[in-house]
Amino acid sequence: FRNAPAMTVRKDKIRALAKGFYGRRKNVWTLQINGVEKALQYAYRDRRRKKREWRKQWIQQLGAGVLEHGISYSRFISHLANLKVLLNRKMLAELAQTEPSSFRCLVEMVRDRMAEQRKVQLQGAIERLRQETAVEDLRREWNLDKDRRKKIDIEALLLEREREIIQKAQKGG
Amino acid sequence: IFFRLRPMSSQYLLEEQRSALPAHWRFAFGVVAGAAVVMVGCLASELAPQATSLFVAPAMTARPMAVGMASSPVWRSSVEAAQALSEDTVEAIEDQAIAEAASDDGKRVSQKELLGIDGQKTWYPKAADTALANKEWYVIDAEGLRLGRMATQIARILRGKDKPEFHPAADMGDYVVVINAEKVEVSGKKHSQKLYRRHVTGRPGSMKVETFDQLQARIPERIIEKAVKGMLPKGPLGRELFRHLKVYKGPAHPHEAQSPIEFKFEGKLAKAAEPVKVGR
Repeated sequence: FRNAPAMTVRKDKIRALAKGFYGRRKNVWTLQINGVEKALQYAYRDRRRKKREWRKQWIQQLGAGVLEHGISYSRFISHLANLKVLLNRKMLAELAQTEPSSFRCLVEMVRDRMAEQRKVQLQGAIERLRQETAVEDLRREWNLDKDRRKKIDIEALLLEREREIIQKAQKGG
Repeated sequence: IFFRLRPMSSQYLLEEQRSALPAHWRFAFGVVAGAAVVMVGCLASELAPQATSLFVAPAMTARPMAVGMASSPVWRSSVEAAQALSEDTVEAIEDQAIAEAASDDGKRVSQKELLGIDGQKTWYPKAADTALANKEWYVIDAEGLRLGRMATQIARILRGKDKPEFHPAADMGDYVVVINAEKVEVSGKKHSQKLYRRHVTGRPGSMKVETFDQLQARIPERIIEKAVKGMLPKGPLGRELFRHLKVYKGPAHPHEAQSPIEFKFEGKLAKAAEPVKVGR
């Protein structure tokens, strides 16, 4: 056999990598080489996949931990980013598992921020309602045209009204 | 509390806000009142921080969190310990910490020595974590619940997806007992149109087909079992998880010794308990 020593060295390396394979794949050369080649390809691919899998797992764990407190993962993460908390998902997931009181503090921070946002939204909604109902009120009070599609300029009308009142007062005085 | 209240009227607003509103606005406060409820909650937390910190947590979840947390891994007891501390002890601890930091001689105690947990190693559930002693038992009354919506939650609990200790390769889930299996509901015309097929002998021509109604009359437990089994992962672990599901016809179950907690479909899960539009 040509160059038996070199061949043996190479084969031994591959044989060592085939340990633990099922059946003849660990003993027989042709099956060993097939199995080992595929295994090395998977290893290359999965070294990149490993990062994704871990992140997936942290997110799942975080999602569960945060749901126990009544918030969803998506809201939690977005508000945390706005609060400039730089903890990554790995640390957050660990906190959720091993440091429940600290994690609870983070959740409360987020909840405060959510409440602030809702306050702002509430005020905006009240403003909009006020505008709309003010328009309706004026329409009813002053018997304006029934065409609701026509937009009314409230300020102009109010100014006119005030002017009328002032004129009446002046005339009366 | 925040999730179970349905925003219906302005009665959830504070006095000052209510007096600011004209009378005919109150009907319009559908979505907005929900936000007001949260505002009330925040103000309450400002006024009585201690009370809300103790009670908000249990009310927030769809399942009784206090009991679930009690059976979690050992280091979770730090929550109760932290809550049990009074202000004086907290101050004393802070003073001690400041004194220690001032007299720091550079020696570091590793987390491993202090807590027994190696912070540099990724945690993987061991046999002790997946042990039977750590598992909760839940009982679900299937009467009036919608089949699929209930089944997703059951699968979630069985798998352990509701715990931050979840691991896809480990059995971190809990046991689920389902009672009144024959009273589970499906919407639409599924009672007469949903088909269950099975191959009796494995040979062609031996397929038997049943409707939902027929199977419910024959073996009602099988309906829920099939629904949940399809939602669990397929494989040895999935098969093991399926064995943690116990379905029974009627209101009695033989697992009283495990004192299962009643799992209610409330809050975000309320859709499963909504009355069903049935058109047989």
